[in-house]
Amino acid sequence: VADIPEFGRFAEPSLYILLSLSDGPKHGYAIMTDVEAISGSSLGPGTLYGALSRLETRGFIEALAPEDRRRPYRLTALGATTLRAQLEQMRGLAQTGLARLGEAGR
Amino acid sequence: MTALLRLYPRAWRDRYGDEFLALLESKPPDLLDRLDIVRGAVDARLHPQRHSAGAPDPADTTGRTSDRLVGTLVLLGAACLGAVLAIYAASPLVSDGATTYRDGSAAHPFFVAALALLAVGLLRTANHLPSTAEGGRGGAVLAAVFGVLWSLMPWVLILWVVATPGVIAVAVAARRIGIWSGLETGLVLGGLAVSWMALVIVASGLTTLGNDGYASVFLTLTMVWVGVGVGLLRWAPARHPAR
Repeated sequence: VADIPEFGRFAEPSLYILLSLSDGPKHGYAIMTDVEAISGSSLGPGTLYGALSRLETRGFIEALAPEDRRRPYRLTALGATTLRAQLEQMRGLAQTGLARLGEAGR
Repeated sequence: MTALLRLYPRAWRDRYGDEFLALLESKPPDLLDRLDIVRGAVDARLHPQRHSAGAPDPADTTGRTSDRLVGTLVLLGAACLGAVLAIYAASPLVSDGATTYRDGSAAHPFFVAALALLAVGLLRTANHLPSTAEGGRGGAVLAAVFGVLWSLMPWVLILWVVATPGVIAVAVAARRIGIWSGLETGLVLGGLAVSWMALVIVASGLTTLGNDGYASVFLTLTMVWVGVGVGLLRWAPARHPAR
């Protein structure tokens, strides 16, 4: 289900974008500011739209009707499933790592 | 800002141009943003995404016209290569005391034009390859860059040696995903194979063809131009929905 790693350098920005859209539709500028708040680093316009076009092509997000030239995007069911799978994978990785660190610290 | 937008392919601009400009108006780009936009434009050209919007992509019609135009130009490049050989054959013999050779400098502009047109054709063909066909896409860039360099310095044959695998990569990728038939692939690979075999035979001294023979082996290279040109003329997006 989750083929975000195939996005290459757009994988991490794409994950942040899916995360940003998980609480409702947003347009490009709102996604950009939200991603900066989530990750602590800014997302360049070229990277943002490179990731958006990949996510849209693969059906993870869909474009809504434009609002005064700004076009909002929303998460699709496939996008939500993919995001959940990615987050579960990260949670498993974190738990494994923390458990091993705990064992090593004893 | 519109200058930055023009770096992107037309299909991309048709789809994202308005909202992209609106974004840049909301947050004027600094230097790093501008570099990011340039990088994004390069990515959009190397990895065009097939947009999943329900409406047909209006760029397809434009793209079809561009394919025909580029395909015709590549065939014109084949004619340029023929002109190179004709001009070379008619060039006066010059002797510097030690060797006698033909002064083919008048043919050089045609040679540059031929390689430049082939480069355009290869890059246009690579544009139809899916983003997963990285070998074919990278091969097109390699062949275009080194092919044009070779046209500027034809005596540095190593440049064409480097470009050749790039052309092969494009041909293999185009055949594999089905945008080229056996005809185009055969012309390109056959042209390369025959010309290289002939070149090796001539250069090894197994024949006594001399300089004229050395030049005429490139005649077989026109098959490469014809293959790439025909591939673009025959390309139709409607036949290849898997793009």
